[in-house]
Amino acid sequence: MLEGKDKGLRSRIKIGLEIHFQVSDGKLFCRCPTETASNELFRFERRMIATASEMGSMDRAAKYEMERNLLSEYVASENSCLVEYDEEPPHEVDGKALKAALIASLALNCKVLNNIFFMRKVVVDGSNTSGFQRTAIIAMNGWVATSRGKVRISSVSLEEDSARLLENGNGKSVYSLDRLGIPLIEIATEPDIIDEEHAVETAKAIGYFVQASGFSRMTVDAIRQDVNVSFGYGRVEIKGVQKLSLIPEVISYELSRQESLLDISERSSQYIGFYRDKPKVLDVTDMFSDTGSKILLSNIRAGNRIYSTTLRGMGGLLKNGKYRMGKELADLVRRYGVKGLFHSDELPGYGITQEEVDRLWLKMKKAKEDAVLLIACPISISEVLFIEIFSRMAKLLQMDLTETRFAADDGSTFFLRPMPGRERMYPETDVPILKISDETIRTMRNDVPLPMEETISMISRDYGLSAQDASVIVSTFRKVQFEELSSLYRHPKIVARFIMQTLPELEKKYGRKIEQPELTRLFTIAGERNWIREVLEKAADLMLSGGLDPDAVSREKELSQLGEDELKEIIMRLIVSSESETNERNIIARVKKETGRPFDPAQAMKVYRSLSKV
Amino acid sequence: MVDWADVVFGSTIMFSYSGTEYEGIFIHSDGDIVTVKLSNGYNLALQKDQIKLVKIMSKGTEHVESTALLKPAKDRIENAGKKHVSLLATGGTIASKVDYKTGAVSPSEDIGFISDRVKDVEVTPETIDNILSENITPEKWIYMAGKIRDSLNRSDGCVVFHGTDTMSYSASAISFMFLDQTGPIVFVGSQRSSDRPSSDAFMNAEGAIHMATTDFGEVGIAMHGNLSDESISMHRAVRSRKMHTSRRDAFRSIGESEVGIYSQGSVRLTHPYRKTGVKNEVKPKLDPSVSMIYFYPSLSVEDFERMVARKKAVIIMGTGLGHVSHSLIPSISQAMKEGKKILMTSQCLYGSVNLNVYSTGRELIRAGVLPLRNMLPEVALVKAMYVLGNYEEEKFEEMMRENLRGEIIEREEALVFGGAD
Repeated sequence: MLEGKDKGLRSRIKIGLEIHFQVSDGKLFCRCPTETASNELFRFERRMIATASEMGSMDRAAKYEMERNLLSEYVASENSCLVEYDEEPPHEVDGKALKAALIASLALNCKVLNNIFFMRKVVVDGSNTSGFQRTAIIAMNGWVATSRGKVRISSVSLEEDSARLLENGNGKSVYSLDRLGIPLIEIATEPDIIDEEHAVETAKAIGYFVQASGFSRMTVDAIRQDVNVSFGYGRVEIKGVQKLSLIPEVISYELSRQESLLDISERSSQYIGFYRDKPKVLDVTDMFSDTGSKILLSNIRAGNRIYSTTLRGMGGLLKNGKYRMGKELADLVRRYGVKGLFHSDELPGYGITQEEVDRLWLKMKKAKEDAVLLIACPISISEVLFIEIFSRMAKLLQMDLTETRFAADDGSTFFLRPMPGRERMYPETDVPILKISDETIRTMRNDVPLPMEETISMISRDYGLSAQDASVIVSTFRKVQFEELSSLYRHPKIVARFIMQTLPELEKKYGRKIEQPELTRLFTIAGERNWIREVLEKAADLMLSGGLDPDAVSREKELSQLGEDELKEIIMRLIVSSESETNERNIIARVKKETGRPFDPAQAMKVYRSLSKV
Repeated sequence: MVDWADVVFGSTIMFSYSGTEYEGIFIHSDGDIVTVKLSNGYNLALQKDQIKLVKIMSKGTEHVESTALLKPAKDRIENAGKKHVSLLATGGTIASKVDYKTGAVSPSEDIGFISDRVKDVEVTPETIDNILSENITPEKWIYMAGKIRDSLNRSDGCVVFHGTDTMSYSASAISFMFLDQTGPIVFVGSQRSSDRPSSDAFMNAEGAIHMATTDFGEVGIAMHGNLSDESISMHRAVRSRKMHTSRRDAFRSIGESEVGIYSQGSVRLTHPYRKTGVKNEVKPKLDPSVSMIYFYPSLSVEDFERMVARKKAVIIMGTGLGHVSHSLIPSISQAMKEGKKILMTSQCLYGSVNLNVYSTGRELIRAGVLPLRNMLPEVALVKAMYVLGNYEEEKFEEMMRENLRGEIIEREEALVFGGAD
């Protein structure tokens, strides 16, 4: 845990979680499957309009997205239909997803609503073809038990997942529609979480109940966490924390980021007024008409202009490392598709000479304590861009840190957009209000999963697994998978070892995964043919190395288990022809070297013993 | 004690539910359900016995000034030579707006989002009616024709916003009624309502307005031609049909490709067309005593005769090349003897009726049925109303056969069939 300069921020920490769980088997508002082959059927393009949906004050986040003026290109995948293309109204809500959400709500001790009211949450960045996400609250006011007390659950919601971003650049974003419409169960907690470890524990506890409620999708990106953290300077929403292990990292990063901003703010408080009054921006393109900087030149050739502005009091505070003001601004301009941002802390450099720099400082009247920004961008966005930059500077200097950020894979976070206000939701009138009777709720209580410890004991007892193994399986959300595969191939200990150890190792070795439907098929075959463990493992290896499906693999000659006679023949050969002497300790390994085919080591040992007596 | 009946829509209230107090906006109270909007934006519809009103904090919605949504286009060309297009709204409004405080969707007069997309054209909106398109009547078409003529007298072109359900009917009626026009008349609608950010209304309007600045002297319908926002297609009204319940490219030209394509600021007119004239000449009468009968196996003689009685003309949508069951032929002959006109079109929509090929067809000819070649059934209905309303009875058959506005295709385009691209 990073300590950082203790300015008392840590003592004011408040953490909340919003966890999204994908539900499998069918999309929420149409009957497309959630699983897909990655075939592209065709593409189409759309431009989203934010304007017609506003009255009076424009929502900050929507305005922001609109000003970025994006064209969105959509890839129609095999598992998408007219509903995803925004060419057809939504169908009836998927019953399985609704049931899973209801059961999860009851498991988390929430009050389930009798009337489910779907809303449209306006999203204009292109990630929803309709320009909004359909979402509804299912239940409220629950709690989950943790070792540090109850963490309150403010709501359980059922909503559609957004389209998957494939690429982004040149004023255009490309999305795949395969993910659009997959049901998500969202669990939101109150900020009752005390620290990083508690956050992980809470996430695991919640995750257990949701996964155990049924139909959870088992792929890597099926669970997404957003971490809400506040150190007293506003709530920061950090989206897209992919792994539980990243939660402590993003919180630490945020703490150290805010500490450094507090430092800057304390040094520069007298300049807040300057940024609020919107400083002057000069067009300095002519100064760089024959610069050696590749980035500036290519921008000029593309018809863009070079702008500069003086950031008073920011000298030395922009560069990365201890002070991250430069990154704050770079993240912001990158959201506008602008890649050419330079600042005085790193100049001269990047092909910009000392001479050019001196002339620029003179023109911009830069004093020692000031910084100067140099940005290359199209004229059309320049005004909006600088307004955003100054308003962000003013906000940061006042330590008004409320915003939405995104988590990178290394635990760092970058600015995504201003935090949306409340003004973005209105009823989804295409979907009638769903009535959930008290009777239905009562019936669902039978399907509520047992608490985690009880489930672990039950698995251990019913399947003959050690408490340790049972615990790993349950807490890593593999209980459903384990039970399914054990019903097909009735050797639970082998199944447990396979999913906890063998499969992850093989998948890592080959850099690929075996998806759940194929695993199901593999174990079905294994059960039918009563394979020994070695055959099963060999089959998985062949599937991953050769890219084969389970049925094809099962026909592979290499998979057929060595028979008694074959073993005799091989072992005899080894006994007779080996350079060094064979013995009970090395014979199994040597047989393995002789053949790629699987065999029963106990049987081989028996054969060896009988042959070596001779 | 405060009662739900005392609370005004849009008031901020404190209420308690399931042991917790919340602040929210009161939306609605009806029967045994109270609807409130939470501060996170979600609506809750709660049974009255589950929610308790604690306090009314502030009454009603504050009147929020509707500000211009986009900055006025700075580079709008201030130019006397700019084209001027009228926008006529028949559904009460061109645009919608959403009040996020309450979630209510309401009509908007603000067309800034349209005018900003057509910077080189001056647009003037006018609401001429407020009617759902499925409720439209021939009287409304006559009224519309008058309004369109008036607007063409003061502008270079006219765009009519109309519900998509009956847009082809209305546009065809207008097409027949205008013998000559001084500017394009372009009908336009949207498949996704304009409160949605994804609405096709904006692109459609942009395309329609640009189409209305050309010399296309006919009535067209402008809508998406495919799923993308790259281009807008214009269809000749009398060859157009809504062919899908919900897709934005629902409108198709039947038997021919679209007559105009708009993309990135410019229009390409792809077929020969009547050019705009020097005056607006309108024959503003329609005789509504025409019926349309969709033939189906087991359609009884009694039912058929009931739909023919008291009508001057009947459009039959026959099967295949224009057939009905033999059992109906005597009724058809009888109707002809009584001076009614029986006209044949096809349920197939594509292709031409031809009563010469099979015996049934030949019998229908003997019975006096008039085949309408590849005229669309709905267009035939409207045309019959027009001809009956404006011309003497003796000229009816001749005029129905004559290709007045392109409603009959002389050479069907083979590659355009069933909506295929």
